[in-house]
Amino acid sequence: MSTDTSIEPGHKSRNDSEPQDESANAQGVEVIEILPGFTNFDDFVNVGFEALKTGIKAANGLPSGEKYDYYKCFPTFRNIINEEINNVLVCMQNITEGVGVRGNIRRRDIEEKFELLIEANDILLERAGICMDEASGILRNPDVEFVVSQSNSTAVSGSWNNLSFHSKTQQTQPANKAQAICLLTAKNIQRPQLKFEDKIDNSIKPWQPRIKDKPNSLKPLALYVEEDEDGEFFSHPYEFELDRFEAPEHQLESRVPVEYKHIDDTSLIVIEKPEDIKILLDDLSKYTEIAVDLEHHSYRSFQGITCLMQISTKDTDYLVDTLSLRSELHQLNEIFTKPSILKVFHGAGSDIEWLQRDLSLYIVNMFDTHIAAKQLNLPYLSLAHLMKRYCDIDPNKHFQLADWRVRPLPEELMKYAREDTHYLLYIKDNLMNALLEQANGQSNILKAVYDRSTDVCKKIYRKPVWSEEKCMNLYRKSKKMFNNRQLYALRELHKWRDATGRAEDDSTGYVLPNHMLLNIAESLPREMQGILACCNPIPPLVRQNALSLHKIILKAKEQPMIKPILEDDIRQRMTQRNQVTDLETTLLYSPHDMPHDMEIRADLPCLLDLNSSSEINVTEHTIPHTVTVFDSPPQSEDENTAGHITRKKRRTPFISPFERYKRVLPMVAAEEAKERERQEKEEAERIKLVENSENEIAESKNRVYKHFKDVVGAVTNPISVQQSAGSSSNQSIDSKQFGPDHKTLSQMQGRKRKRQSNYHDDTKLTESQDDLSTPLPFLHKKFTQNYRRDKRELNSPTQGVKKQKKSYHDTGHSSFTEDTELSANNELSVKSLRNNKKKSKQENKRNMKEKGILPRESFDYKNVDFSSFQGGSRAHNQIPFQAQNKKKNARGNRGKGNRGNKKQKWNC
Amino acid sequence: MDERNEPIVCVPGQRLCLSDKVNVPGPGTYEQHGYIYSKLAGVVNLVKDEHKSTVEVHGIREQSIVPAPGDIVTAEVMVVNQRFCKCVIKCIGDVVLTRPYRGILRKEDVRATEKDKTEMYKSFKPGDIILARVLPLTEVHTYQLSTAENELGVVIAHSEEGVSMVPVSWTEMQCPETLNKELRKVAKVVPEHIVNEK
Repeated sequence: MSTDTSIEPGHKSRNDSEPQDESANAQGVEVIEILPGFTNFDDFVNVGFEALKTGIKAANGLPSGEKYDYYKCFPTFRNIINEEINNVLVCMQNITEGVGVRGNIRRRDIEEKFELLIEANDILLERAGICMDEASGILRNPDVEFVVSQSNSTAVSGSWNNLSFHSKTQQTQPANKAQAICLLTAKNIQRPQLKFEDKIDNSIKPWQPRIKDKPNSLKPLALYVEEDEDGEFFSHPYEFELDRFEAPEHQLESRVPVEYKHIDDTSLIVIEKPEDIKILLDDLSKYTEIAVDLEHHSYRSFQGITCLMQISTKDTDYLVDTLSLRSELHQLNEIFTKPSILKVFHGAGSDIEWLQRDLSLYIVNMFDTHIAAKQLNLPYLSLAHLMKRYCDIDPNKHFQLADWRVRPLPEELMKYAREDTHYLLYIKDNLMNALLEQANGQSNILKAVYDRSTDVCKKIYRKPVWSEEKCMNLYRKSKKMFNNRQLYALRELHKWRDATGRAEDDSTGYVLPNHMLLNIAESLPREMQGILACCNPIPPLVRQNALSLHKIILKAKEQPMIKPILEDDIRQRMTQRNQVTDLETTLLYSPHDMPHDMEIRADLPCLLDLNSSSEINVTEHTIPHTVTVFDSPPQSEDENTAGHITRKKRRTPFISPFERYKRVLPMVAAEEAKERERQEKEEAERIKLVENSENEIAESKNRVYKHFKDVVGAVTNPISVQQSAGSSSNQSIDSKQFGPDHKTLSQMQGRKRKRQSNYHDDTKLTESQDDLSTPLPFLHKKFTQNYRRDKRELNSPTQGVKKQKKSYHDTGHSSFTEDTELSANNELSVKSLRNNKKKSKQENKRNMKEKGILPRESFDYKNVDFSSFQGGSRAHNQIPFQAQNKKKNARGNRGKGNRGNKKQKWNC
Repeated sequence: MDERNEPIVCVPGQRLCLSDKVNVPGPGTYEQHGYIYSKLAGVVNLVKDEHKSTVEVHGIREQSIVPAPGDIVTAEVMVVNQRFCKCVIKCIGDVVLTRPYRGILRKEDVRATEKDKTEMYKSFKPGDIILARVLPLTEVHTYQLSTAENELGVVIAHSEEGVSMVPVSWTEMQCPETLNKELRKVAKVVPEHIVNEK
C-alpha cells in the first residue's frame, strides 16, 4: 500500500495536468469571451501552462523510493500526504464530474481510477476535436453554420487562425481591414442549387424562359423558337415592348441632380422572405427611378447563379436574397418592365442575362451608366471611377470576388453591396446632364444611350455550348505549340471538362483550371500520378476522375505522330486580308459617282472577261536599248562569249530554300512510310520467326524422340555398356553387331568413350538448338519410362541400378548433355541386363569390386538426382537462348546500322 | 478565268468583273453597281472554292502575313554568338516578305538530339540562309526559331571564296573551288540541280 501511494502523487499530478490542459483548450475554443480575466486565448494558454509547470515541479519534488519510506516514518508527513491525496482526489472528482463521467474516483482502487481518468481524457479530447472541426469548417451540420453566423468574421475569413487578429483590428481600423481582404469565402457553404425549386439544367438543350405571366404587356406572352447559326433559342418575351419603347419626356430633360443621402441615414431593408416582396413592390411602385445591381457566383456552378440583388431608391436600399427567393422574384417584373419606371444599371450586359436566367426578370426602360460613360469618353468606365468622379467616394471593390453565397451575409458584404447601387441614381443624373451638355442641350445623344441600353435589354440568355472553337481559342491564347497528340489530348480533356462541369454543376474553372489543362495536354503523363502531378492543388474532380483522364491521355498517346502540316493551319493569322469590304463600299459610296439617269448595265467591259481580253492586250515588246554604257564593247564580246556561255549553262535557276524543303517533304513522308512498313514487316517476320522456332522445337523434339527410338530399337542386343567395359570379347561382338554407327554407344566406357559421348552430345545439341521449352514432355516420357524400369529393377535387387549409380559417379557431371546420354546408356544397360543376366552378374560383381561400390539393400528414390535432369534441360536451353540473343543483337545492330546509314546516306 | 502565265495587272478603279454568285469581291477590291472594281494597283488573284471564286487584288507593297508558330521560314543569319544567333526572316513559306522580321535562334533549338553538344560557331555563320520553324511567341520583339529537324538548317552558305557550298554530310559543307570543308547544321533538302532536272 505504501508503494502504491508513493507512486500515486506523481501519477496523479501528471494525469491531473492533462485534463486541465484539455479543458483549457476546449473552453478556449468554445467560449472565448466568457473566460474571465483573459483578453485572448494565448494569454489563457500561457497562464495554464505556467500552472501546470509548477504542479509538475512540485510533484517531482516529492520524495520517492527510499526517501519516501524514510519520510513515511514521520506521522506528520503521513498526515500531510494523506490530506493532499484527498485534496487532489476531490479536485479530480470535480473535474471528472464536470466532464460528465459518472462514478466516484475516491472509492475506487487504483486501476479503476486510471480508467476513469482515461475516460475523462477521451471525452475532453473528443470535444476539443469537435470544436476544432467546427472552427475549420469541416463539419457540415446546421449547428456549424450557426457558429459561422454568430461571428461573421469566422465566416468570411475562412481561416480560423485569422479570427483573433481580425477581430482585434476590426475595432481599430476597419477600413484597412477591408482593403486587406480580397477573396472572401467560407469553407462550408451549402450549395444553394440544392434548395432551388427549379432544377438546374446543364444539358445542351436551349435555355427556356420560365416566365409565366407578362405584366405591362402590349402583346400577350408568346414564346417561340428561333434559330440562327448557333442553334435554337427562345424569343425574348418583351421584344415587342422593347421595340416600341421610347424614353419618356421627363427622362430626357436636364435636371438638378438629386443629392444622395448619406449611407448611414439611409435605411437598409433585407428582403429574405416571400412575404417581404409585397412590401418591396409597394414601395418601389412609388418611385420613378430605381438603381439595380446584381451579385453573381460562378465558381461552384456551371452556368452561374445570381446570389444577391441590390435595389436602391433615393430613400431606401434593398438587398434581395435571390437564392432563397429565386422562384418568387418574377413578381418584380411588375416594376422592372414598367416603362414609366427608369431602371439604372451599370454594365447591364451580364446582369440582364442573369436576371432572365435565374429570376425570369426582364427590363424595360433602362439606363446603363457604363454606356453613358463610354459615350462621354470618360477615361475610365468602371463604377468605381464614376463614384470617385461624381461622389468623391473611394469604394473598395475588394469584395467583388467574394463568395456571395454566404448566408447570412456578413456586415462588410452588405455594406459593399448597397454601395453599388446607393450612389447610382446620383451618378445617372450627372451623366444625363453631361450627355445633354455634350449635345448642346439637344437630347439626341441621350436618346442614343437609351437606345443602346434598350438593345442591351433585348439580350437573350443562352447556355454555354462546347465547341472546338473554344478549345482552339484556349490553345491559341496559350501560345504553345502542340503536336497532333497533344492537340488531341487538349481537345478531349476540354470536352471532358465541359461534360464534367455540366454533370457536377461546377464551373469549368473548378473542374480543371485552364493552366492545368494545358499542362496535362502538353506533358501527356504516362502514369496516372503524372496527371495529378500536373495540378497543384489537385482539383477534387480531377482526383476523382483520374482514371478516365488517364484513359484520354493514353488514347492521345496512341495517336500516330503526324508532322504539323502547313496547308491546313488551324491557327488564325492576323492578316489584313480579312477585312470586310462592306465598310469600304459604304465609305466609297458617293451619289455623284454615276449620272442620275444612268442605267446599270451588265455588259460593261471588264478586265477579267475572256471575251474582251483583246482590250487588255498586254503584249510584250522587247525593244533593243539604245544606251550602251553597260554593254561590253563588241570587240571584247567574242573573247568572253565562250566563258560566259559555260558559266551561264552551269548556273541553274534559283530555287527557293522553301521550295526545296517542300520537295523533300514527300520524300521524307515516303521514307517514313517505308520505315513504318519495314517495322511492320519486321514485326511480322519476328512473329514468323517465333512460329518457325516453335516448329523447329517440335521438329527437334521429334528428332530427339526419333533418335531415342532408334537407340532403343538398336540396342536390342543385350550388351551393357558397363559390362562391355570388362569384356573385350563383348565389345567386339558389339561392334560387329551395331556397325560403325553405334560403336560409340556400345563402347562407352573409360575416358575415351566419355569424350566420345560428349562429342556425340554436342552434335545432338546443335540439332536441337532452337529448343526453347523447359519441360520436354517427350523426354519426360522417356524418363518416367526409365524410372519405371528402375522400379522394376528394384523388385529384384539387381546390379543394374547400382551400375546406374556408379555410372553417375563415373561421369560425375551434372550437365544434362551427359545426363541425357547417361539415360541413354542406362537404357542400354537396362536392356542388356534383362537380356543376359548371367553375364551381367558376374561382370557386376567384378565391377563393383573394382570400383569399391557396395550394393545397397534397397533403392532409394530420393537419392536419384532428378534435378540434374531439369537442370540439364535448363542448361540445354540456355544455349539456344543465348544464340537467340545474339541474333537479336545482330538484328538490333543491323537496325542501328540501318538507322545510322539512313542518317548518313543522304549526305552523299 | 483560266490560268494565265503572266499576272493580270490592274490599277485602282479598274473594273474587274461582274459581281455575282460566282465572283465575290475579296480584299483589295470593292463592289459598285454590281461590278467588282480594283482598289489597288497590283496583281489580280482569283481564289477558287468549289463553286465560287473570290477576286482579290494584291498590292506590290502589301505585307499580308506575319510569322505564326509552326511556320517554316527562310531567314538569313546576321550575327552568331555562343548562345544564339540573330536572323532576319525573309520569307514565310512561299511568301516573300516586303519587310523582314527579326528572329532569334537559340543554341538549344539548333538540333533535336545532343543539344548540349551544339556549338553555334560550328552550326551557322553570318550570311547563311537557313530554313527554320517558328516557335511559339514568348518575347515581344523577336520570333524564336528552331532548326531541330532533319529538314531544317542551313540551305545556302558561301565559303570564303564567295562560292556557294555543297553539303557533304549533315554537319559539313564543302566549297567546290577550294575543297575546304566547313561545319554547318545542314538542312536535308533536295539539291537545286535535282529540282531543276525534274
